[in-house]
Order: sequence, then C-alpha cells, then structure tokens
Amino acid sequence: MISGEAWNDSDTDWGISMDDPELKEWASLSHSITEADRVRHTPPSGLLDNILAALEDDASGSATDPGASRETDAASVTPRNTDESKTVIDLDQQRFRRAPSAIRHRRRQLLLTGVAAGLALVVGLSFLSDDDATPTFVAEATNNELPEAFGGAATAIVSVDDSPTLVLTFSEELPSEDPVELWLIKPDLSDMVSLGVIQPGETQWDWPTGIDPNEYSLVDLSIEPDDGDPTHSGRSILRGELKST
Amino acid sequence: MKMALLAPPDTRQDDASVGVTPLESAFSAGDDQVLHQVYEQYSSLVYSLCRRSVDDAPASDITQEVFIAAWRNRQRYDPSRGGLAPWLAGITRNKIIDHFRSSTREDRRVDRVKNTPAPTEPTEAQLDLVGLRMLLVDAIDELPERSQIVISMAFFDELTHVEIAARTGIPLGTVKSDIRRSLERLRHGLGYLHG
Repeated sequence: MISGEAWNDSDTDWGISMDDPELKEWASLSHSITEADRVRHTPPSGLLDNILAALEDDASGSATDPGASRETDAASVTPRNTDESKTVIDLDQQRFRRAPSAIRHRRRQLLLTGVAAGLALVVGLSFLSDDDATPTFVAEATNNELPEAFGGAATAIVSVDDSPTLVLTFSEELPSEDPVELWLIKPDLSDMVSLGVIQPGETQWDWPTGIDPNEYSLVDLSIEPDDGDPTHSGRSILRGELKST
Repeated sequence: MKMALLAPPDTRQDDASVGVTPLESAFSAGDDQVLHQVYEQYSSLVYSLCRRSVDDAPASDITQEVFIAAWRNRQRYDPSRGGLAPWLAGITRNKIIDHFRSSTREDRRVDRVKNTPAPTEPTEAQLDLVGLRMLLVDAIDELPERSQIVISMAFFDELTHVEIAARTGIPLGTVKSDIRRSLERLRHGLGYLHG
C-alpha cells in the first residue's frame, strides 16, 4: 500500500513500477494477458430462454407442489427411523459419483460401520412459509467420533429468507488442506446429494428444490482431496441429523 | 473494504461506491428485466470463461447454471465488494470445477478405451488467473480513453508518473489522479475474484 507521505509529496516520482504489492501484482497480471484473454464468444441463442424457463419452473414448482419443502408443516414432520450408531460411510467398496447438475444424487448402497456420539455440528434449516417465518428443522450432530472428526464446536444460526436456506456456523476454521464438501444424505444411505465444495467464508446454501429434508436428513461434511475423483471420499469430518423443531 | 490506494488518509473517500453501476445496484432486488440486462451484459464473459476450459456444449450448460445460480442467490451480491463481473466469474469458476468433478471414472475409462485424452481438470488457481486476466482486459477497456492510455503506460510500459506526464503532455497531477481513479475502478472490476 502506498503511504500517505508518498502521495502528499508532490515531488515524489511515484510510478506503478514501485513497490506497492497490489500494483506490482496487477502490472504483472497485465503482462501475462494473452490474445486469448481478449477473445469473447457469443453464447448460443436460446440460452436466456432456457434460464428463464428454469427459473420459472422454480417459481411454479414452489407454488403448486403441496409437498414442496417450503410448505412443510413442522407438526406434520414424522420422526425418522435412524440408527445413529451407524454413521461412518465405508466407501472403499462402493463410491458415489456426482451428477453434472447443481443437485447431484447418488443411489447406491453404502456400507456402514458403528460410531459413538458427540456434539459437533448444529445446522439451522429455515423455511419461510406464508404465515410462519420460523425454522422448522434443526440438526444437531450426535456422532462426532468420526475417524477424521473436525475438532471444533459449532453453533446454530437460523436465517430467514424468502426461500429455504441451510446455514452452518463453525466455531473454528474448517480444515484447509483439502476441500470440504457438503452433502445431504438419506439416513439409509441409499442416496446423497452434494451441495458442492464449501468456499472460504461460505455458510449459507439454498436448500435444493425437490429435496425433502425428511428424507435427506443427514448433513455431512467430508474431506475431498483434489484427486479428480468426484465421489464421496468416505472421510467425513462432521455429520448432523435434521430434526423438526 | 480496502481504502483508496493513493489518497492520503485525511482525504481518502470510502471507495465502496466507486465503479458501482446502476445495474449492479439494482441486481439484488431486481426483476426479470434486470436479469435480461445482466445476461446481455455479462453472458459473453461467462461463456468465454467457460470456453477456456470446455467445449461449446458444456460451456452452454455451465453458462446456464451460472446465471440460474446467480439469480437464485442475487441477495448475496454486495456491490461494495466488487462488480457483477468478478462475482459471476467466481460462480463460473466453481461451476467449471463442478463440471470436471462430475466426470465419472467410467467416463474416463470410456475415454481411454476410445483413445481420447480426457480433458484436464483445471485448478482453481488456474481458473482464477484466467478470470482475472479477462476481467482486467474488460476493466481497462471500460476506463475513459485518457485513463486507458495512462494506466496502460503505467502497467505495460512500467513508466513512472513523471515519465507518463512527459510523454503524454498531461499534467503530473492529472496523471496521478487518473491513475488513482483507474485503480479504484479496476479494484471494483476485479473485486470478489481478486479477494
């Protein structure tokens, strides 16, 4: 950063080539610009129509589907029959792959091994309905003795938005050596959905359309080495189960 | 929020609004018309970014996903942190990574059987670098003509203020103020992706 003294000195022969790191970085960046960086392609026609149609489906789906999660009534949520002693996914024998779309399902059986309990993660999942702006699901992890459990405690925040939102808050930084991916998993592990790799500072996600929190009730964070393999690594560091409030 | 680079502390202005366009201000609360305008203005950048990593078909798919995700999450966009271009570029980067990760092992085996080299997954750093260079190109292009000349001489020729003033005949103070304002605009134009 350039000092005020340098700026105030009208005789200072200050130029971009001096020692300011940001300016040097940008000058260096400008030197690396290639002709390819100047090329702009025109997207195919009709793409905007597809986008508008997809967004229109969002709106119509939430408005007409009585089973849509945003309209889920807390009182109607049925308890899930989940064996909480089975929480570690053994993916050595069967791995799940990502689908290319934003919502990625996996529909293969996972093998389980037992694990004990320990509070680590609290998840706030909020649904804003017409007459009730309170969250209807909260997850509290009870299985922090995962082999690679994230050591930090976590607390819940509940955000009320105009669409269902999943919010995570951590008391400590997540491991940074490898990407950490967020998953929604059925308790019987017959299917799972990835919400993507958690970006630095990212704490909030739109709840995916068409995913029932009663069914995809396990919220899971896993270490995903940058090895080109899109499937769940099996290296879960946190897991919590959504429960109706 | 970083403060203006060149102004002294007692005269610095909050640069949160520097370079913020009316479209950027309207985006988070915008309607479909705003979406049309955003697509009109930025779809070429997003699609071109995709084309640096993938062919036209997946580039179309990813571009579509980017704008859908951006619109669904438009409340998260904060103009004080940077322009829409770098915000969209960041989403594009993530979607490109997701695209490559969606390739299954089976796909790779098929590629090997077909003796077709599987596309190489770009790293996040590589995608960011390409994105920053393209954003810098656009940001400089959007500067006023005189500022383009001044900032280009500073960046590409590494000339000092005095040298730029001598070569262009622009008063030294004007050169300095042009550079200061240009850097503020560039910072907005590369914000989000530049960090």
